[in-house]
Amino acid sequence: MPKQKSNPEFMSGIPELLVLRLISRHEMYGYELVKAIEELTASAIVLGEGVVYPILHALEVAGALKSRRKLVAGRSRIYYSITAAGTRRLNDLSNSWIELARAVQAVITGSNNAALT
Amino acid sequence: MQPLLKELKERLLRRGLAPRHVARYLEELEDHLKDLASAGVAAGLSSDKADESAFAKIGTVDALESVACERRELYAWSYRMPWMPFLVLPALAVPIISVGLFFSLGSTYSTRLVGADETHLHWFELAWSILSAFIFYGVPILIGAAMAFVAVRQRMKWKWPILGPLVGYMLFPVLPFALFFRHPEDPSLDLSTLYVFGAQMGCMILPFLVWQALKSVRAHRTHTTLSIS
Repeated sequence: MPKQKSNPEFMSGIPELLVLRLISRHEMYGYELVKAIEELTASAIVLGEGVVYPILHALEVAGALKSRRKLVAGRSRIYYSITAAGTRRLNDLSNSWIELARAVQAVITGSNNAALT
Repeated sequence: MQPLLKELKERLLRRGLAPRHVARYLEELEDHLKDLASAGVAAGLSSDKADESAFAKIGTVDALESVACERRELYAWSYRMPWMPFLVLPALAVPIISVGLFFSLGSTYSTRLVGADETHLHWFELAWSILSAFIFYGVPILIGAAMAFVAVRQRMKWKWPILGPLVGYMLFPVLPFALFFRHPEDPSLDLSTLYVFGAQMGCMILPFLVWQALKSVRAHRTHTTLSIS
């Protein structure tokens, strides 16, 4: 049986892409981030409420994000903001995503022209 | 801490995630639960219903565990390279600390006690004996305690905390070397000590064994108390 080709980076990179994109706008904490993803994607993408934290921590370990504690309304929250390395990573992921989306669109519409628009 | 988070903590530590990441994850999840519950109350749910709904939304322990364990970057280095804290680092730390301590006192002997009276020499001999005992038993036990702390914090089983020092002991069972400090004037007052590296590695197992024994006793007592009640 031929080995099935897949693009795990494409599949697993979506939450990371969304997280980096949203945090690139302004610093956010986990709950705020999950709600923002839900709202902006009209609930088409709903990240599990607890799923976002390991992604944030891994991005921080990789140097793409940095965190700081902030006291807001009497509660200490951990806010994440993007770093220069994170911005580069976001650009790479965005470009990959746009390329893949165009390719998929071309297949769906059956026209190579779609890839050029 | 909520029972769900307690269970998650134990599972993540046993799977090898770094304690600092586990602590942070739990702290943020706890905050997230509070936010979800507050949102539920604001939406008109009773406090109990809001809590219930928050737990349902946050996910099961299995789901929370699996998503964290997928991230290799979050694993503790003692889990990824257990030979480092349980074999290589102690094997380096023991001789460096021991020889360093001997030399610090020995060099004092060679340089500062020239022409010293008997009282000073007596105090020095006493200090030397105490230091020797500390180096032979205290240093390996302190290093062993640090290893046991890492192992306990990481919920490690017996394998590495015992295997590491045992391998060290087997590799260098008889690696003695002697240290001499000459008295500048009277050779009969020369100081020497025999240093056996393998034996020190063996001593490092003790703190972990003691901790395991105490844990067994405590578990036995709890079991007995539960059986009686």
